[in-house]
Amino acid sequence: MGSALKYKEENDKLIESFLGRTFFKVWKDGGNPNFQSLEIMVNAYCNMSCQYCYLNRYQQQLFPDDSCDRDKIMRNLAIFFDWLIENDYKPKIELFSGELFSQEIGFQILEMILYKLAPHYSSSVVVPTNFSFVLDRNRYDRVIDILERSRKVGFPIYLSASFDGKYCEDQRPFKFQEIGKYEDYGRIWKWKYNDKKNLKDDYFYNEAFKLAKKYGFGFHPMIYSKNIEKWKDNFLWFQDMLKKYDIPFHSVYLLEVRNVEWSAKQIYEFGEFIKFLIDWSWKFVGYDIGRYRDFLFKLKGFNILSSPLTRVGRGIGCSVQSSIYLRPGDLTIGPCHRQCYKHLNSARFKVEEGKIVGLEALNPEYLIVQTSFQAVNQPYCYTCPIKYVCSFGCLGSQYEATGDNFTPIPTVCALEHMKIRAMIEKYEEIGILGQVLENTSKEKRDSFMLLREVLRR
Amino acid sequence: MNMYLNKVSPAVEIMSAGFCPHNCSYCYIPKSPLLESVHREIIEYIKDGSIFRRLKNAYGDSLEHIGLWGTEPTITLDYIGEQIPYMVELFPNLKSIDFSTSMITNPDFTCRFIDKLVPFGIDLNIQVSLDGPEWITDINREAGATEKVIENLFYIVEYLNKKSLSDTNITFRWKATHSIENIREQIENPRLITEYVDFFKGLEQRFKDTNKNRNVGMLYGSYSPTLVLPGKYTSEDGKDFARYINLCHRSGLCTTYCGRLSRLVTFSPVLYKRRQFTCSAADSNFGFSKFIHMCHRTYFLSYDNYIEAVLKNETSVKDVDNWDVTVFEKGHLGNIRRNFIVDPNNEFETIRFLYTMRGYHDYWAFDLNALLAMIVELAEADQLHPEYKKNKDLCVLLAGFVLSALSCPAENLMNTGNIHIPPFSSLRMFGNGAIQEILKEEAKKWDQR
Repeated sequence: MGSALKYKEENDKLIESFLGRTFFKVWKDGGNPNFQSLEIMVNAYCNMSCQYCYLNRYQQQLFPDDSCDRDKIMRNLAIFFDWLIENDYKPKIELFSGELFSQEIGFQILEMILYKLAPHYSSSVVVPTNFSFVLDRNRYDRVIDILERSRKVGFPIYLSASFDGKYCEDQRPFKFQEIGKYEDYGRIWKWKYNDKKNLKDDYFYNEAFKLAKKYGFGFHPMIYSKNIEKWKDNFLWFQDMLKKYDIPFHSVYLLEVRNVEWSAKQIYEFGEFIKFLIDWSWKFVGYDIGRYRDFLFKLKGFNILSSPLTRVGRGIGCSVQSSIYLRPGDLTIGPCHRQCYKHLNSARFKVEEGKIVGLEALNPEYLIVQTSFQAVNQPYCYTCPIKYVCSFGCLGSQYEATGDNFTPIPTVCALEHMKIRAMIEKYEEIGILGQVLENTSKEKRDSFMLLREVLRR
Repeated sequence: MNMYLNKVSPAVEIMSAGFCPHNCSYCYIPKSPLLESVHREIIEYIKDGSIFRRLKNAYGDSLEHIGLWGTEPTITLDYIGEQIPYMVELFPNLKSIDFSTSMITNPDFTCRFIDKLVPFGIDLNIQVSLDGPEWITDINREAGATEKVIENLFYIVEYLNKKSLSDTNITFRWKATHSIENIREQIENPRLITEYVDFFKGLEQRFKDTNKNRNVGMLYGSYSPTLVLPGKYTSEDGKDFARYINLCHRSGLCTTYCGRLSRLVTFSPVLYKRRQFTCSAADSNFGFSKFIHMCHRTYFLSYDNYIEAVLKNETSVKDVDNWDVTVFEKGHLGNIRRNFIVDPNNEFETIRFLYTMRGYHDYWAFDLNALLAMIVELAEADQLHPEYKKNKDLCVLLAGFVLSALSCPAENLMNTGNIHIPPFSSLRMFGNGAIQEILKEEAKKWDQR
């Protein structure tokens, strides 16, 4: 055998060894929660073009056309699910795409999961969605139908609401110009809504919140630089809606968009919003430190307030180290949905006669490094005073902005610094900084105290 | 004006040749007829001086060392020589020029070039690529190459004997590169290692005997062989390499890797200055063509037509096994072209590039973390020496060694798509007994001290 062939063979064996000891083992035998998930990255099609969305900007590089063929996706998924069953693998599943319910294939995949996997094991499927299906009665009914059936067969589908709120919707326009791609869905909108700017009216939100209440779905609006000054009003609107539909106030998972484009003024506004959020929460809990700590550490503090204070059991908070990312169109395992660039993809399933027979390594080095790295060790982060309390950047966004997945974006660093600064200043002002930090790790406490001293001077 | 490089670097490697008449087996540049058009463009920017004006914009007066890179640099020395007065005018602190040559081309190119340098007192360092006796050099290069290299080298030495070099100093050094096939041949017949050493010692003695010019010198002992890196090495290759190093040490030939490990140990008190242990790419040195590169390694990747030809396999030689075209196909190229080949007139992109590259040269933690994870996984897959499963110190040593002795962000990019992550190939080569062999040899020296 030639050296190049042997080299390839060793790399294939290596990736099988790595995944076999980690994800595949846990999918079969249970254990480490970090290795339980499988994210299926269906395709990049979406009926919206959100200004901050990576698919909107890098769709072609992340999902080349040949990976988006509908027949291939369905055929490969059937093969892949058979392989899961044959090996007794039982991963938790997330379905990712642009917008799954704007495409027929989204329903077909969910049907296949219920048909093929549900008899084999009990788990769940999480689907992030912009909820635009509530604007179309036919789609809406189909979604409800499949949600109900998924619960009956013990493989419940959970939706996660991906809309940013009434005050920030202008950053998430619909793609009317591409209606053809989304079957008949767009035509219905056009007929129903003459004013394209106001698609998401009160009807839309009322329907979305009703569904969330009924099934216990959460909300994950993105805090983007563009409308940051509207976020105080937007947050209050979210709270009004949660109250109206009797949904717990803490059901909003706030996450800042860690793209490069934050300006100094917007970063300042972000800091003001963090202070506002603390004030609002402190008042909401009746100025009771016990209840406030419960809000932060048990109810997750809207995520954005708790993430600097809590630890994750891996090197970075996002899911790059806790999921296998499968692009079914070409059965490729990528580093994550935002990094599945050709040169970074990790491996591909080998198929012979309609069956998976092994793995072909593509870039095993990158996968292994990404799965094991500690964000505090990233260049520049290593010497940063907020490294123990930082939420860190998104690897895909860092690649887009700096050319290196592990090099932080200076504007995002400024954003994270501002978050910590705002927290220190506000907690100091209220007089509860020490009490908030009581349950945190020593390194986090020390970081906050050091930064407090810096701010005082 | 973009003057960012003058703040960080006194040296540059300019792309001074784009065509090469030879087909060395381990050359990293896939050959294509289109290289001739690249070459013509290079001659044009040397002749009209525009490359030097661009350099001036980037470096100001700070430039001290210029390396001539690309393909075979001697074939454009006449054009560069014509520009020496202009270069000196632009770069008043210019001290030296370097190049690495096959020494197979017409030696008069070099002689004439030296004549142009002498009035300005600029030093010249010439690296002579010679892999060993005929049984190795002629195989790696072409039939008769060994004889030609020696003949040309001594032609130049004798020419210099007749010259007064004034303040100019000329220094020669060897560069021997061995492929895994070369190494296996020597393992099978260890007598060849002795023959290899004797060959270079004989040449060095002849140099001493021939050279009469006090301004001309040689870096003796620089013939210690280096590997073709990063290569596509397997664990079997690594085991053979360990045997080879053992045989070299027994034959009294200390490989260059001993020196590199020794450097890591000797300078351990300043390990916090990582740049002292990384290569010079985009640190103390940059590559320069029409664009800024981290080093010479990415020059050819900026030429669209050439890349297209290589991808279509329109190379001058049908068999492209020796050239790793696969990295062109994997999509690494787009990443390199987009992020690591920069227009010097684009200030924002230049700053971004410098910022990202500093992350490579100034920080250890991420890279060590990465290498240790890779070592653990290789060991678990039984692709490293079993010792790596139980000896953490050895793991750290291997990681540190690969990150310093084999530091090459450009090759990392070409192979893993990331400047921080070296390919498994390097770990397999040094992690299957080689490091232990090097360590044993170095330990003997430390004991003696």
